[in-house]
Amino acid sequence: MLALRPPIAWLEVHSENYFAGEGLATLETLRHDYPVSCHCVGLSLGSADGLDPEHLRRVAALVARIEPSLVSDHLSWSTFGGVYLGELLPLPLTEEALGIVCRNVAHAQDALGRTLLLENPSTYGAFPHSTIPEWDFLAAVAARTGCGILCDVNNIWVSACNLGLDPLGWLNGLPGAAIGEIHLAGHALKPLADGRVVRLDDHGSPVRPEVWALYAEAIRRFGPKPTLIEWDTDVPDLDMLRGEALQAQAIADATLAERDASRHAERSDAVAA
Amino acid sequence: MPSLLETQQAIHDALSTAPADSAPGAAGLPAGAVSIHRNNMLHALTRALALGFPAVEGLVGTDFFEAMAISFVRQAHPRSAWLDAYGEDFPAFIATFAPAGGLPYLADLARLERAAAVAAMVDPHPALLPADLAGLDTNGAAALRFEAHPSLRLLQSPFPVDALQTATLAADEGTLQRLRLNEPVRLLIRGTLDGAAAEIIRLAEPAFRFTRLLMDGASLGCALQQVPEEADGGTLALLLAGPSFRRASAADAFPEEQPR
Repeated sequence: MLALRPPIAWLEVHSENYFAGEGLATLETLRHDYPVSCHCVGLSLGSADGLDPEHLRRVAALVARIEPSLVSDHLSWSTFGGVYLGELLPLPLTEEALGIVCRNVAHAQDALGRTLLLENPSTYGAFPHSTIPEWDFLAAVAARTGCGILCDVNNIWVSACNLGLDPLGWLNGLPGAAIGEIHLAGHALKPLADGRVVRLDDHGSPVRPEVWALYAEAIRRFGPKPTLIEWDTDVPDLDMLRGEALQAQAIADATLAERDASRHAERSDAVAA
Repeated sequence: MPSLLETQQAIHDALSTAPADSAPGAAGLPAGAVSIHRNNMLHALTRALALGFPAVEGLVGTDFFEAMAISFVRQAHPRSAWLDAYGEDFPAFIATFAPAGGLPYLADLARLERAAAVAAMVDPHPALLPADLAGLDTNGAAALRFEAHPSLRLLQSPFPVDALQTATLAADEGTLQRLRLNEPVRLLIRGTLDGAAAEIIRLAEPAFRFTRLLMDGASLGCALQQVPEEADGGTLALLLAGPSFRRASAADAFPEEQPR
């Protein structure tokens, strides 16, 4: 990146990898040429025992230094009792959890002095005591805290397939006005002993055709949104990554042109009537 | 219905205690989902250790490293999501990891990698530079004591772990085969003034002893008295060429120290 400075609209980094040392020095250089999005994986906004103040302080210091365009984390938890588990773990979607997530998001937004985007995670199983669909849960957090939503289209596909739900219905449940960013990625299919197939969100391959199709639906519904290709295992060369980014742009352009044409036609029909 | 705290306690316990091949559900989350999250967790944390200890991994191979790292993860989870800082106790763990008993240099190699990683993460400023000492007369200089920079580490090993690290990271099989393992080394590890890297410098025995005395708070005059070989100022100049000390104070700020 430092040597090539490719024509890319913006960059996103995992905040936790850029707190110090060479990574931070590189990011401080690149931020002069590209808008930066700081995507966190460790705020643990779903932790029942609250946020880690030391970690929040580190993220706040990075945000103050880099002045990113966007800051985001996930609807998940990863820290419990002072132990970091290194994984985005699922929450039972209950009224109690909603209150805790809203409190933690508000706390983080106060500490960072800005709004967050909250991302829908990939899920592999549901809690029997969940009472709120994830799209309603995210909409409620956005309404109560003022945060935005990072809509991961691949995660919707993965979660909906794993839980036996309709991906399009899931997408349509999200409040379009709150969407601040879209993620796309590849995922893997893993056959289970009982014959079922589980979809694993591994960010290690090209975006699947069914996810591209759902992305077009997202753009049709939400309008143009900053879109990121996530690819962080078996990372390919930059040309392959740029190819995925260009395909996202092409799909967004075609979808918006088609949407605008059909709206224009509807208006013409209305005038004619 | 379990509370969120109870749910998280149950999942935390299932992920951090149960072995990877048995995956009961937790707090209503199905066994299959718990198993996926456990695998993801172990993968993320062992990869974080591999990034922090690349020469150790290169020397023992990915499979052995992963088994060793998983054993460590089970007894010492990270305390925060800043995974660059994870692994403080990994070198000590390696020293007690029985399957690595045939590689007596492995723990010191890990200590070196850890010291270099920490040095590269510490903000180099403020650092004491030669200009800060300009204008001192001989008496004033002799009275100085130094505050060690947090990036500075000394490491003594019966094995040439610095050469082992360089050759392993370069995958230099020839050098690895020629390396004489019974060559003790004394190393200074510190960050660089641009804050982006670490440097590892081999020291002779007097220079190592002299640096240790200054790090432990001896005055410059006292250290020179104990290590007269350093009277030419070469090691002091080397120390002041990077972030070795934060600052220096005149001795009258401290109780009088008797040379040992």
